[in-house]
Amino acid sequence: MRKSMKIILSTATSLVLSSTLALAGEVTYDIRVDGMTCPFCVATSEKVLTGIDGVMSVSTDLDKGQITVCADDKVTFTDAQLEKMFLDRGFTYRSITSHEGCGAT
Amino acid sequence: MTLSASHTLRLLNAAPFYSTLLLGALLSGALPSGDSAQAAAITFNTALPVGRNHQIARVQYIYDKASSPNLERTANNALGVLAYGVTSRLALFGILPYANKQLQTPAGTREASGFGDARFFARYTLFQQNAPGKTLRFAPFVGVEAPTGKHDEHDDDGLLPPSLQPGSGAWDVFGGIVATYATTRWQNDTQISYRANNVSGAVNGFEAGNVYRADTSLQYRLAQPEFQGPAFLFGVLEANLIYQDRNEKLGIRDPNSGGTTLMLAPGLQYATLRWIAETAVQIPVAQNLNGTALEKDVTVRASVRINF
Repeated sequence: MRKSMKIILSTATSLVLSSTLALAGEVTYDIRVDGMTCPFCVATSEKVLTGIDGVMSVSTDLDKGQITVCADDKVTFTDAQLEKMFLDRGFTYRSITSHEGCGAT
Repeated sequence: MTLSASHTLRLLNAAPFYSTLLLGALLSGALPSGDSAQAAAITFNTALPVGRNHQIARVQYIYDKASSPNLERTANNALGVLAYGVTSRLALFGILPYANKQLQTPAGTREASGFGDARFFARYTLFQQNAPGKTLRFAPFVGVEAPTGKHDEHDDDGLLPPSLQPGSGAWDVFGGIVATYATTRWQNDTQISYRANNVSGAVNGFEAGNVYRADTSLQYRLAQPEFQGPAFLFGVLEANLIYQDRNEKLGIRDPNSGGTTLMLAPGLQYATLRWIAETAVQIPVAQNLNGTALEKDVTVRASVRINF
């Protein structure tokens, strides 16, 4: 019984540690973009973001005009880069914020 | 954990039946004939952008029927449309039609098939004002229709009439302006356009009358079906007001041609991130045509647009 408890505790500890390590390098970016109103607008915007090395997932909230990007912490965005990126797609970049981890959006 | 798969589209807090939106980018077609290139409106164009170096393709089927007491003309048309974003403001469009046309007369049926006249036009976004989930745009456009289709098809009774020929044999020019106001709940596209036919001169003694046109389209999101991933279903209602000058034959105005037609077009659009399927039925609600000109009975459109 005691041996079984040790195995369970050991396994649980390993899972928690590995999960923590996996999340440690992830960053969520919330990008505010004006002018997106349609599915094709979303597709063209998400396509360019998902093409960036280190970006793991992208989702869009049309009503808020917000694109949420989950990326590893090696990915960096600049205002100038995002302004051009969205201007090329016909939209207006407004701002970006970030926080560690990709679990809570 | 992390966000779900990439390319997910979420309308947070949007209840299916109360949210709206409008749809997406693309191309519809433009012109007097109402063929579409880019998209929101089904029977004409939109001012929504085509991203730089992005392409949108559209394949459209159009069934058209017109008649007079002794004649009935039907046409089955297939159009291929390509749009390319040179910049976020400048988009180029190319349209290649293929048509099968039949004319039933008391003496029998006359018919012609083949590729029609290719159209090329440019659209430039002159003004745009963006806000979260909203956009207002004005985009003038100008283009040409090249005489790529056959215009001298014959049957046993001789040269087919111009309305049956796949092509006009002449260069035409057209232009106009389209305005779009789009939110995530609904969208309106409104366009005025002018088309000068036969600017290169008469063909076989025939010169088609010029066309003045005003169009408007309202798209309203009806639902957000979940069964196939993110997608939107729009209800569409469009109106097309078309005035055409009389044609000329051998320099003489044809009294049985030209006039004014007002059509209403209810339709549906199903839009996803990568493709849109849509259909609309154009029903003439008022026609004031000259003489015995053929009256339009109905036009049915179905198309698919793909965003590359």
